[in-house]
Amino acid sequence: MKTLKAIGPGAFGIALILASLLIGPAPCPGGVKPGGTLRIAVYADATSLDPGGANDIPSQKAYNLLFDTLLAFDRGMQLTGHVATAWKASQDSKTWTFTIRPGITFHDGTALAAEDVAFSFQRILNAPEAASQKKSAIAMIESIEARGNEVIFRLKYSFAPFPGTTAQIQIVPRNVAKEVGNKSFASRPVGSGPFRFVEWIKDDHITLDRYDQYWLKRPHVDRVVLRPIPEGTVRAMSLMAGEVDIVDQVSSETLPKLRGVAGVELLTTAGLNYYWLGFRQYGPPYNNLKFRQMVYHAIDMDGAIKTIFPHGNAVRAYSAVPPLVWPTDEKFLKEQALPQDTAKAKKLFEALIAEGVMKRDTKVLVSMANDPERIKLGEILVTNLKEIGVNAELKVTETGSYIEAAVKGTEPFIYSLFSVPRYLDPDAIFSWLFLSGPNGSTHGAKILGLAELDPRINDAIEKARVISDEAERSRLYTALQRDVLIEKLYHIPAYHRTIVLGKRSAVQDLYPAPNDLFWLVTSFSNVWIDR
Amino acid sequence: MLRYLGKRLFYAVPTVLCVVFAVFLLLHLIPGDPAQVMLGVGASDREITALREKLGLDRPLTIQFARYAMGVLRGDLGDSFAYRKEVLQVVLERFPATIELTLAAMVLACGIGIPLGVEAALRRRSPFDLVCRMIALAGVSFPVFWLAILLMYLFAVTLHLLPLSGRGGPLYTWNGLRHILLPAIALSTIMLPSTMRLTRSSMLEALTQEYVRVARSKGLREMVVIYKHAFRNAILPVITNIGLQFGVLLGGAFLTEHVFAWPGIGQLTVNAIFRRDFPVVQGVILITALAFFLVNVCVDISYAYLDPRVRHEMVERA
Repeated sequence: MKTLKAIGPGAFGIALILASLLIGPAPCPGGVKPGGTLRIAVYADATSLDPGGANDIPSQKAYNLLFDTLLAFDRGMQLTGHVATAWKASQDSKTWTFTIRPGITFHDGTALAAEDVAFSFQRILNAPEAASQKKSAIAMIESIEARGNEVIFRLKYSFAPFPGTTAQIQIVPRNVAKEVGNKSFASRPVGSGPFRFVEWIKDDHITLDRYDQYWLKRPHVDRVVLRPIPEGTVRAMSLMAGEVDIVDQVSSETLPKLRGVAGVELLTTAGLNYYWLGFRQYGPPYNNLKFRQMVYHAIDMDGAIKTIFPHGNAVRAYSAVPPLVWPTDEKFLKEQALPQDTAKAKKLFEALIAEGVMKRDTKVLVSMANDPERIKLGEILVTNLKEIGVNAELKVTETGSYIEAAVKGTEPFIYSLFSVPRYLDPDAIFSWLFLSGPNGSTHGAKILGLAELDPRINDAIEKARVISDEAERSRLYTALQRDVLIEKLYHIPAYHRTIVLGKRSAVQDLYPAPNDLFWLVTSFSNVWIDR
Repeated sequence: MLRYLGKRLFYAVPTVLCVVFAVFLLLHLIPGDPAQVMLGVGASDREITALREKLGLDRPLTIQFARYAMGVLRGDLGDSFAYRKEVLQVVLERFPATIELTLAAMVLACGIGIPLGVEAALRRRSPFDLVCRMIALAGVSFPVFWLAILLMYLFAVTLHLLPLSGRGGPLYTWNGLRHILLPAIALSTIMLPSTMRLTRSSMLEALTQEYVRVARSKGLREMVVIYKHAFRNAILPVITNIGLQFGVLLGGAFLTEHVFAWPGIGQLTVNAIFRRDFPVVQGVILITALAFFLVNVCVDISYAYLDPRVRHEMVERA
């Protein structure tokens, strides 16, 4: 005590501060060490940070950290309340009411109100047709009303999957968005998410700082820096060199190099995607069921997947429904999938010749976009078809040209595409892949040439989207899928790609998101760095 | 001199218009609808039609070109399809980074290539000359992509000496300097071999000239003979080469920027091509053509500075 008196209370305080500086910040309960900068390498830069405009994945990855949505996903990709604490539908599923959580503030300090939610949806609906890539996703909304702490959506028609669509509309502060205009808002966004915008140097980095008043929880990391690194090899090397803490889209080639590197870990989860081989049924033999059976029997899909993804970052698909989306009918579809059977394929080929559907030397065109994985799939299919005597040929086209040929052309060929549902509901999958006409008008159906061939598919999809009973909807979708994939063989399901995130071991509490976005601060996680 | 410059600038206008026309035509000949590429396969017909209307892609090609050319003459390069911003702004945001990288590569290529070329000429057929020739051969043979990955792995991943990718800031900062080294070394290998070989052969030729013999016979020091008399004459074709190589370097920068995640117009262009963002591709090519033209005007002016005969001829012609 004598010594303390001699030193004096001021000096004691300084000593305490110095000691704490030497020791470092006190860890939070559970050993969490807050602070630090989380550096993330992404495969491409955002095109815009306005969630009402851009809908591309790189932009979503960035603005999802800045904004909140009415509903969010839990780890199992089930919808949970977020800005909305509760939601309910009218009996006919045409009116939806969401209750807004009190106490949420935007990064400029203003409170988030029901009017902001209504405005965020309305500005997308009011935007010129081409100004927002999200407009068609909420085109079923007729009117929106903010009443107290509730937002009421009235729809043009009954739409059971409506809650799922709200999870992709971010809430913006109406005063700021109106004041600065869309162009300025896109480069200096203000949201209510866990991080606030600091800086965006195009194609170099986006810097976001922790938002201390985030309503859900205080983010552990001080700063997040998103760095676009387009080359997969360079992204992997950046992680190995410790220049970044997280890398997205770890490619098949770099996967084995990252495995076993000290201080590097790989996180995987099922991806919300579906890759398939399809038949453009604009002419014979592609519009013949026996031909499609022949191709199915000819291809060694399991072998192809092992060759294309030797490190296991894809799983064989039997269903058009990606993992984590209902209805799951995988067992039945797997049992019914046609196995590779060269003898059967040859027999079908002979039958097709005998029936005059095709000649022995009819050229069967397999067309692929120029991505390495699908080129390999095409090569394997062509080899398998040649093995049974079919005159198959592979054509590889640049992606933009490929899409145009697939969507606009009327040339029949075997193609490969992939889909990622716009919202987590089977309606998003089946309407995209098979629905034709004004309510869906999608290219998935057009590519197949289904509009003229199978209009009954439309009725099933239109019926399922207006029913509120999930069990009944599930039954309808299951029947539809069995019809198009087993009976008619419009698609040969190929694979679901796995989402692979690479991270430094120091990064804690990180979970890979099946929708390929970043889950940094969620109800079930709060990323921190154990430096 | 000013009249000469004015004339050069006047002649540049039709050249640039030709470039604009060629690029416009080529881009529109490539299959692939920009609206479709931007909105993806899942977009509806209504969305695609609306976007095509908004972008003016529903008009006949001649009208599209006339509108674009009129815009270019007014300094309006249109709006980017993907970024929804003025092309000039999108390009100028990234152009300084590309110029910085290209100039750094040029300085490295000349700073190493010219002295090595001179020395190789002076030590003709020596082991040093052989090594220089091998370096030149290797430089021509190694693809920039491969060399870039090798440099990254060695200096960033293994030795942790330099940062792997990105731009650390302006060149005058320590971080900026460290970040530019690897991409500049990789890019300089495009220009270094030709600079070294041309300097060597040019010096060899100059050293056999009469004026060099006269200078030596006058008893001038060897350094003065080499650098004041031979080198000054030998450097002219090397400077011409620098002007021409600038365009090649800009082309090489596209790949180098992509690999090193360098935020310049190269990365922008690669993305714009895949997205069918025609205005951005056209804008980049137009601005690159202008930069190439300006560099070559500078090269012409430097001739006049280095060679009084050229200066005299320029004045006479003007």
